[in-house]
Amino acid sequence: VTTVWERAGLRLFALALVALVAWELAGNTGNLVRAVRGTPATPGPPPASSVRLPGREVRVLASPHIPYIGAPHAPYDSNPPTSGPHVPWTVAPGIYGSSIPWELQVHALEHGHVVIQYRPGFDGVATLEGVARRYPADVVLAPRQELPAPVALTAWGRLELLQSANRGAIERFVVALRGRYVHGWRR
Amino acid sequence: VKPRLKSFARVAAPGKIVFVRELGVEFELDDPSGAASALLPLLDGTRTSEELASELGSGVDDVEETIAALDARGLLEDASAEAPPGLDTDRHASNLAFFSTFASLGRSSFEFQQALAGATVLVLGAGGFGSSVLLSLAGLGVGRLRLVDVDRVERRNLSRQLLYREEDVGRAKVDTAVEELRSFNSSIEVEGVERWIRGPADVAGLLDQPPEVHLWANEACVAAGVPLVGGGVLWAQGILYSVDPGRSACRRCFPQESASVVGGERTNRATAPTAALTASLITLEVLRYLTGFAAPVAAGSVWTADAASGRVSRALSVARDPACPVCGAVAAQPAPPVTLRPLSVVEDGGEFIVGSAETGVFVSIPEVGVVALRALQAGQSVEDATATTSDWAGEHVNVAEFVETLRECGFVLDGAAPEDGEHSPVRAARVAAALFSRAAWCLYALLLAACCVVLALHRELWPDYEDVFYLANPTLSVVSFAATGVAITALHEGAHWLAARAAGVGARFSISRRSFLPVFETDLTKLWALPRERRYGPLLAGMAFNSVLLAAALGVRLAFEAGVSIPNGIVRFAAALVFLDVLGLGFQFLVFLRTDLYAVLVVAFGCRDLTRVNQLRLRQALWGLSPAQEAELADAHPTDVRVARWFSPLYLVGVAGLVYAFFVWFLPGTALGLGWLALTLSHSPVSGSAFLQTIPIALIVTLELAVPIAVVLVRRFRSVRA
Repeated sequence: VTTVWERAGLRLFALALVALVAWELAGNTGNLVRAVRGTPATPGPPPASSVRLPGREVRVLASPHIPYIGAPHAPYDSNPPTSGPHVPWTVAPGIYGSSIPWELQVHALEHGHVVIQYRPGFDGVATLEGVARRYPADVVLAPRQELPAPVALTAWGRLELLQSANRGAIERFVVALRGRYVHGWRR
Repeated sequence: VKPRLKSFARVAAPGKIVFVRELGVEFELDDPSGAASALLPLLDGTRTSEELASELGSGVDDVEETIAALDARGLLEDASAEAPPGLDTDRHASNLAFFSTFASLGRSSFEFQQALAGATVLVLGAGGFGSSVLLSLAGLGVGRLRLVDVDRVERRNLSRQLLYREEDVGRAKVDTAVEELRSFNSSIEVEGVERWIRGPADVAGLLDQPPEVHLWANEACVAAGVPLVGGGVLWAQGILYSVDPGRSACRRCFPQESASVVGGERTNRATAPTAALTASLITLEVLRYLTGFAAPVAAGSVWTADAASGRVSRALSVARDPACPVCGAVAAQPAPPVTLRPLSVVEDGGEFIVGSAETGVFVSIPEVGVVALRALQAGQSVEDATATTSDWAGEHVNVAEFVETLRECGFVLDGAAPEDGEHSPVRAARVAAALFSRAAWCLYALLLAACCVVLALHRELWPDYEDVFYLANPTLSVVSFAATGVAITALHEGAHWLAARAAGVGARFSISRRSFLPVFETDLTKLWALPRERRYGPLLAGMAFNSVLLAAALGVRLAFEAGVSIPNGIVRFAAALVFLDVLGLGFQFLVFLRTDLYAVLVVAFGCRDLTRVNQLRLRQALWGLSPAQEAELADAHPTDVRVARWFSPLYLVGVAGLVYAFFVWFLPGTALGLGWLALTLSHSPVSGSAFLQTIPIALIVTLELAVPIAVVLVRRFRSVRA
């Protein structure tokens, strides 16, 4: 029913597929392990960038998983944090009406998202929402009382504080820093 | 249900009872304990099984077991069955009495009569056979008769054409016959069509000429999936044949010489008795198809009734010709010759209890019987099921005999439409018809295409597993996400069910496992009773539902992006819906897991057992086959082999993709979930909210993992025990 050539072809094809899957898996192992365990050791510094990135660089901390929000952990070294201990679950990009715990938002940063936070009562919320609508897969937008400025933009290892809703500056931050770190530096 | 014993003659013998219905038709019942003998006098149709048990002072289970054994032999009918409104029980008293011979606790004689009331029969030619056939059908109460003829009544017709009188000579036969039939039975619909036939597209005509009319009727019936019963008179023999499209040989499959003998004699030698006898044989065969009181006897064969010897016998039996230009394509489909009732199978101490909830008959069969049953339920023919079962058992298994046993148990629906469609409300059927109209299908296809375009143009709307956490609270996210997933799957299956109902067949739900994925299923086995083009709707209905939902969710996301004001929670939930729906639709493309699209593929290409042939081919290519498997592959249906040629590489890609998905998503996802749970449960204070909130998630993860593992273990355990 099957010819010799067909059999040889099927065999080769099967081998090729096995090799492809193995190769893909081998290349992914590091990220998989980090996805499951968090990043307990201090990750290396970000790669040098040829373009000037928006905001300021913040030292990247050891970022292990902690059991629950409120569990004791090593302190963050910025407000809001840009890396550090976080809970094992994450939060989807989108617009939220109440503040998101630091231990949770750090996990979104670890997935390459940008977190935009504003002080409740800030009058430029419509502009911030416009950005969140335009980048629905990248931005987590939420209010937060204890911010050092009216608006705070964070990405993994990166922070920018704004006094007003400057749409151009916010979009530059989002576009330049989204997906730069996803369980590891991408660029 | 109040069982009543049919008044067959009874002969008591040591340890058993013999019932004699008529000469040569006897039923035996073993009764070593005398329990059945004690029960018989009480079976007068006034008591339920509980009442019988209390009267006899025995257990309800024992009584029901005896009743099931009696019913399996066709000895009981349900005295509490009521005639449906509108059924003229007086007019049809003798018809009902005839059907009561074949009635059981699960199917009353009224149901046979109702089947006739709902039936339509087209009669080609209102001459010698037509006259008697039409009068018989009207007498039986067939709801709608349509007769076709083009002749005028001639004096010579009056020798045998019982519908006409001397004063009708010169009138159109159609007009006269319609008048006569309406005055014979005013409760049925009779329609006359006066026209000539030019080819198979005009399926109508006279039985005697043009000579090709049998073949034209055959071609039209096979294409429409409608049984054809035909006949004629040669020199001194009445002829009967029938065609059960897709199941039996068709007229075109008959050998040339028999066809020319059967259809080639031109002088009309039909007399009143030979015409009426032949017409009666034809009408009884029609009755078999319409009510299923017995299986059709002349499907794919020719019966003769000899005027000289009085003998009625099968003269010729023709097998389906796979190369037949008329039914070759139909024959390539695994139309099940055996339609089984929905049956439950429960393991019980090495044996299996198989039963029908409808009829209440349960019997114990060995595992080999279950294998055969599964093969038949999967739509295999008796031959294929024999092969499958014999392969499993390692020796020849007589499945044909097994089917006879099933028939005796009342598990076989002989030609009768599956009964579970009867109580579906008319309104649901109407809604379903609108949901699965041609226009609706165009809409579903458009929506799916639109979703593809939107996803191609909007990378930011692609689903991501993060969408699970669309609420900042993980417990609420995971629990509501899992519930939504279950709801979507249930609605997907509901769409299959509804479309199957709209197509006029029943369907059943079940839950099982494909690879490492637990799945809901709708058993659409009965779709095989439909012509090919009507099977696609029920098969694709689930994906149509997913497409509509996906379009709605993507619409919400797009509108929000465009600035439309929508509550944020709904927008994030829409993302979760997109994720679930893309997953659901994508899953259907894994045809090697026997998904909806696999079923579509099998129907479209007319495959028999593609999965098995593909499995054998791959095994042959990768590590060789045993001689038995070589033989099985050599015997494989050519269509399966042809399709497997490109299906095998596709299958390998699918398996590779699944292995990849297993390692990249399933395993880390599970590890992540378990790691999270272990971390939270071991490190949070037991009375704290973090601990409590983790418990529902733990339950869901455990269920999702445990169900497939449990299924695998139970199967392994059973196979070890067997």
